[in-house]
Amino acid sequence: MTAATAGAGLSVRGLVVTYGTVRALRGVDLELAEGEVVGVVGANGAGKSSLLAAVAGLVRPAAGEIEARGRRLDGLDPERVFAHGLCLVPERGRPFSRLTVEENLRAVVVPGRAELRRRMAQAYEIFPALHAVRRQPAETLSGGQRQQLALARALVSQPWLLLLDEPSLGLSPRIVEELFALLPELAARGTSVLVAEQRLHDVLQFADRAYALVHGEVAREVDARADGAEAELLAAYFGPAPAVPGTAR
Amino acid sequence: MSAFVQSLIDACSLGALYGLEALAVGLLFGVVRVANFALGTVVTTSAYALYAGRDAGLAGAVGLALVVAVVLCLAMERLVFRPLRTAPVATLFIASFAVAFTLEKTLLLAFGPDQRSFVFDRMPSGVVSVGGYYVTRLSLLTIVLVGVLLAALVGLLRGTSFGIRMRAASDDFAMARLVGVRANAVTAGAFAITGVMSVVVALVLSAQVGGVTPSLGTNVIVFALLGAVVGGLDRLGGAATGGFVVGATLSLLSSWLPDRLAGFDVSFLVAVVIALLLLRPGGLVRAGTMKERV
Repeated sequence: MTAATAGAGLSVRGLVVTYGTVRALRGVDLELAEGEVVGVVGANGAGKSSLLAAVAGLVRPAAGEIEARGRRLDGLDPERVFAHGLCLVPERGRPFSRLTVEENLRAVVVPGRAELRRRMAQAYEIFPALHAVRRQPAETLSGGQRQQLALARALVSQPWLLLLDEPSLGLSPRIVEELFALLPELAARGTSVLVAEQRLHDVLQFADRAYALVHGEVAREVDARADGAEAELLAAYFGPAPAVPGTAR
Repeated sequence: MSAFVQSLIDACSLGALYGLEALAVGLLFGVVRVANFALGTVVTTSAYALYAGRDAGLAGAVGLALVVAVVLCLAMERLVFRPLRTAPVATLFIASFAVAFTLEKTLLLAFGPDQRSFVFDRMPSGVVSVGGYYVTRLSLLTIVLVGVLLAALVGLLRGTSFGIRMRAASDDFAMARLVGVRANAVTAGAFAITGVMSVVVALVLSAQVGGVTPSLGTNVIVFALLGAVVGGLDRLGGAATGGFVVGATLSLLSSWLPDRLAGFDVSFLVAVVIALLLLRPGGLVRAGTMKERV
């Protein structure tokens, strides 16, 4: 799968985001088909967070189009984007620190109380550790628990597209491994995932496709399962690998 | 000792009133990041609405005041603070001064500088004896009203989806919008609640002084702002506690300062506030310091 079918999935065309005189994104094109897990890799400052923030409605693009399931999203407020079934988990998750775990889940706008309870029960099934601490304020949780809570909170909204901004940031390798293992499972249940990450190698383990962002532009798009995908992305990051003496043909 | 207990009882009444106004300040600051100086003028306007509706009896006048205060607060949100949502905190604070002065001068033009006197027959007067101490019925009513309003507010904020979303917005406004919380509804809701609180403050204040002048709410908002800062502007419990401490301290100072220092009660209060801020710059009520765990 290399492109979203017309009217389905997410389609970003010529996206430009500026902060004052700084151009964070310089005409980004990106496609995501429903059911896909797509990675966006890049160094600090490459524009990954700006891309996700623009899709989620936190930042108004200076130019370009964002279309999801056939509807234009660029220029909409975050709550309107959310209503179209997209949910962003920002860097470090940002759970509501003074609210309890349960209240964090209850804060999500869901149609109907019974539906909310059902979805909360599902979230606790996926993250059983959260159930044990459900009456604790989020500020008392560990970093891993906070990230789990942020994900659970997003899943309560049952988005068709989950936007994850550097979910591995500040977490131990074991927790990161568990977290990344969850993403293909979510995709199998029908939740598409667009994830921004610096861990290029890890992204290729769970993603269907990946884009390399360099200085606010898409430098490369690869099929994660294709041979040499990692080398291609690395080349986009750092330029072509130097020839090693004796191995050059 | 008994005189001290008596003054403590008196202090509770003033503390409760300022605590309620400080809670309104804290609620708005939490959600909209504005330390709204114009809340004092909402109190004054509510008192004029009580005056205007005096012939309809207590319930009618309170009903009118509630409508006027809530509409005024919603208009303030829609016309001034919503367009300034992304402005720096200082800009919002200055804007709130502009709103306060505009409203105050409008009231001055409409009603003149003299006190408009009014008394509701059904408002309690006189004193009651409790365990050998004397408490004015108005003080008792103040404490009961503030208690009921606090309980209702806590019930709203903790027990309803709207309240939880309001607290979520107060915690992290942008994040709340990312989980679907409608920013406009939450901010308008917070403003409307402060309108209701202002009517209660106006009812008690106007009963205390027997009427209303264009500057009735000014003292309250100044001390409520002081209290909210002392208690911790970004925590509702902190703001209310701070307001209570400031009100109660002011009352105790006016009772216990020697005659030659009488009139300097506010100066001493400010000294206490400065000392508290030096000792606990983050506010009287704050979360325990927590290390970020990974």
